[in-house]
Amino acid sequence: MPPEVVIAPPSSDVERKGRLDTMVSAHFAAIWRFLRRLGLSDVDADDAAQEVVLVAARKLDQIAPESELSFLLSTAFRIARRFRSRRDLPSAPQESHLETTVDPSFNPEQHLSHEQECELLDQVLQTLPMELRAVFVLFEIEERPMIEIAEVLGLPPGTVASRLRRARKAWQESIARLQSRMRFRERTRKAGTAGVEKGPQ
Amino acid sequence: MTTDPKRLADEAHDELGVRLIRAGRRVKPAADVQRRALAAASLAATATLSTSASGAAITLLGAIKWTVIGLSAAGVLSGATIVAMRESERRLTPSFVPSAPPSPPSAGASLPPPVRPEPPSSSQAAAPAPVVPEKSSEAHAPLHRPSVHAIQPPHAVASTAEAATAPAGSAAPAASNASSRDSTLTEELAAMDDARRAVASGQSAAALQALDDYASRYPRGRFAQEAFVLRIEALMQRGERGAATALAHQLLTAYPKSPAARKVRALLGLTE
Repeated sequence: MPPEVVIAPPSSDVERKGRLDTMVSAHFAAIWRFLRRLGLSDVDADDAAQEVVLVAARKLDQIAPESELSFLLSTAFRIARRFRSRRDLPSAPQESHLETTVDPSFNPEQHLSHEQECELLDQVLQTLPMELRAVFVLFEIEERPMIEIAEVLGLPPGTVASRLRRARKAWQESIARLQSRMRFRERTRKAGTAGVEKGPQ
Repeated sequence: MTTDPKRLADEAHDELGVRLIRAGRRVKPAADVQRRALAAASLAATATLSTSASGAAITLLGAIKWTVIGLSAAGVLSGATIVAMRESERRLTPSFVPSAPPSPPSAGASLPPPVRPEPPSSSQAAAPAPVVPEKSSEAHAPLHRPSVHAIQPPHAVASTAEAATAPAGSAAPAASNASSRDSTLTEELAAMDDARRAVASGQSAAALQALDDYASRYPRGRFAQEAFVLRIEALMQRGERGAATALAHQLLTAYPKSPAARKVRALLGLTE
């Protein structure tokens, strides 16, 4: 490999299209997932993902081959913020969702459906402020290395590490709250249908 | 050297948090979303007919949402009405200087260097800017107008900045800002009119040149979809059915339910 090739000038439309196709095939699902977990609806995630691809197509010649996913993720992050502000989605965490939308018939001991799990996942993620949420999603769900997350979000590595710590703390607290509410509802439900309720815990 | 911490889902057992994280990893977009995204990218690239990744290949997605509205409105307008509009626009005083000179056609294009006849349209009267030849090597006759405001349109994602640094041979960004968007409507209608007339009279080479012109002058033009359809028609006229079909499939994949898609299916006799 020629030592100097970093940003190769475009050879032809065909080659460029080939590169874009490969890039999209490899990373599209991850981009879409990332957008969803940043709080975009299915429909918005579809649109936003398409915009990411269009940006990538336009800037293809400026994307270094080893940074393709980082580029796509950081573009996605930017576009997600725009979509969220357009939809007036709050950037501050939303605590109340944990309370109101948990179905009282959820039994935490039973197997939750995939849809239910995703619903709950979104509810918990919503309790994280955006800057923590992005780090958490990229690390825990998308399994990106910290150094790549730093590149994607334009942060120093130390900041990524501290945000991850804070995100995990917030996550665990929200999970614990969710669990106790689910169990409370479950106990309440059982008490209603089965008569005498045994003591708590 | 610090290593990354272990991931929550790797460490813990089957507790709720871990289950939710794993659920998040299994999520996938619907099957056609990826295909449509790529098709839209192809569409945007094709619209400029330029080999270089110019800033003109801008988010067609953003433009499309207006274009459909624009098409509906324009579709209703009769030829007479369009002329009337142009007359009245001519009486307005735009000191508006429209967008950048057209980019040169790609090396692969088989179009002859055009001597595009300048129609006596309002776009000429409206723009008294001096003719500034852009690239002297080009044999183009069309007026080259300097771009003035590189103000970022709302939908483009930092497009103008990248366009300024794009490789040589690419078009400069569209010089439209929010307030002059109305004056571009007349211009765009005029340009589309030229292209439509050329197609209608079978002058496919002139039509393609007019469409190239439109695409580079109005990279976020309202009539991007209709321009695409006209391009397909012109290619069909030239007997280039292969190219026409390829473009048609791009459009049909990216925007299957659009009015343009219906027209294109009819043009090619596709029943898809």
